[in-house]
Amino acid sequence: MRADDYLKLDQYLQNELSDAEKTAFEARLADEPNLADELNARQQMNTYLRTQAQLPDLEKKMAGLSTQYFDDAAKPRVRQMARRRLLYVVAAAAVIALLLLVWNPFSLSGTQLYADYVQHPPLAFVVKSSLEEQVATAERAFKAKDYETVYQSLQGLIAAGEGNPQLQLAFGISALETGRFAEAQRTFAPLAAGTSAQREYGLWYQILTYVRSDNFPQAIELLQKNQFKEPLLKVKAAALRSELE
Amino acid sequence: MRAHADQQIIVALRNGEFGVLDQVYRDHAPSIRNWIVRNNGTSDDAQDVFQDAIIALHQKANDPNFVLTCPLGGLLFSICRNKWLNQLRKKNKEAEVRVWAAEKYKDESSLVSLLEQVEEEQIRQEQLDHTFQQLSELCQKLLRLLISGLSSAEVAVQLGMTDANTVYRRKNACIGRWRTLFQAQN
Repeated sequence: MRADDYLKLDQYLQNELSDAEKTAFEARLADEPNLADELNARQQMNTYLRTQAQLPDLEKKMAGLSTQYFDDAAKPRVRQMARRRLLYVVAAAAVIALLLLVWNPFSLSGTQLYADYVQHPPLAFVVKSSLEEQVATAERAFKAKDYETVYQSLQGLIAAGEGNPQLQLAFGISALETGRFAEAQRTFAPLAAGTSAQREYGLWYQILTYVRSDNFPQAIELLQKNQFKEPLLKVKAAALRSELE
Repeated sequence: MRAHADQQIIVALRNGEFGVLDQVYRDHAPSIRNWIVRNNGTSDDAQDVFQDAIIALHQKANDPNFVLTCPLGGLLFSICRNKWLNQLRKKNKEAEVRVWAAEKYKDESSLVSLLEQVEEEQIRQEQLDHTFQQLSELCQKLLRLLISGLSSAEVAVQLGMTDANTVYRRKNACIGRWRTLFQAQN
């Protein structure tokens, strides 16, 4: 190492070198292991120091969120359902009938389960230029989670046989989010049976549509029959299956 | 490898924009909590594991070379699963350990690599923390002030040093001492 290398290391880490200086310095890093080691050590120290500096803010933020997601009110739904069922057993038959008429606890469970597991993927609405304008509204609405607008914007295109898998998935999600479950299933089924990059998402959303509409047996059947390769879906599918079975 | 779309969450964590955690908790906390509760844990266990995982993720996010190449949810779940696996092992719940240890090896190689990077970073930061505490109070203060974005001249004023050159020399001496301590424990 040279006498002014420490200064160069600082400038490199702070991105203060010109392009030419940076290229020359990186060439030296490739040839001089001691210099590369020193840089690596300083990067690791900076990573530690930055982490420590941000830690109080991070802990404060997590404390607030933990109250929301991990307090007693957030106990698993299955236990709540079990207690509810016990109450039903001891209640009078007429009361049970009345309760089941006006309040079905399983519908609440489906909605909550769906909320726990749904996480819409970021979708790129890449279409041929003739459709760009038509799709722009749907793309903006999808990002803003305005699913009724997504549904209305894409309905005509899908009905006309538009085969773009991203658009089909977005349309299916909008149908699902706006309570049009049968239409959502009709949209997701061909995606799940196809070979596009959205195949696994089509299948996952078929399952979520069954969950959301309280059709747990169908959801379980699809989970049992299919394996996911996409890491996130694989994890979620395993957790959902364990929760439903 | 190409960065996954969730890299934006990593960048936000790196920049200290913790509002992004609203989305991370909303998308992942319920399913991870349910999974831990169903595997011999409590809601409190799940809270501890999830918070540890977020801290580990934040540590790695501060490595400017770190690139997320898979969905954040998959990585976060794997971090939580390994942490819970370790706790089960400590509680001698061997049967559960075997089940989930077997499951662990089904992960895709890219996810395994990211998980290893996160876990290695956590171990390294523990060692860096241990050795940082052995530096003089002046060294600790000087390095903290510099990482906060203050210039050497501003740090010189705050620490009552002659000028920026003195700060620069002291900084290199402190880093040298820290590095020696760190290497000595490895």
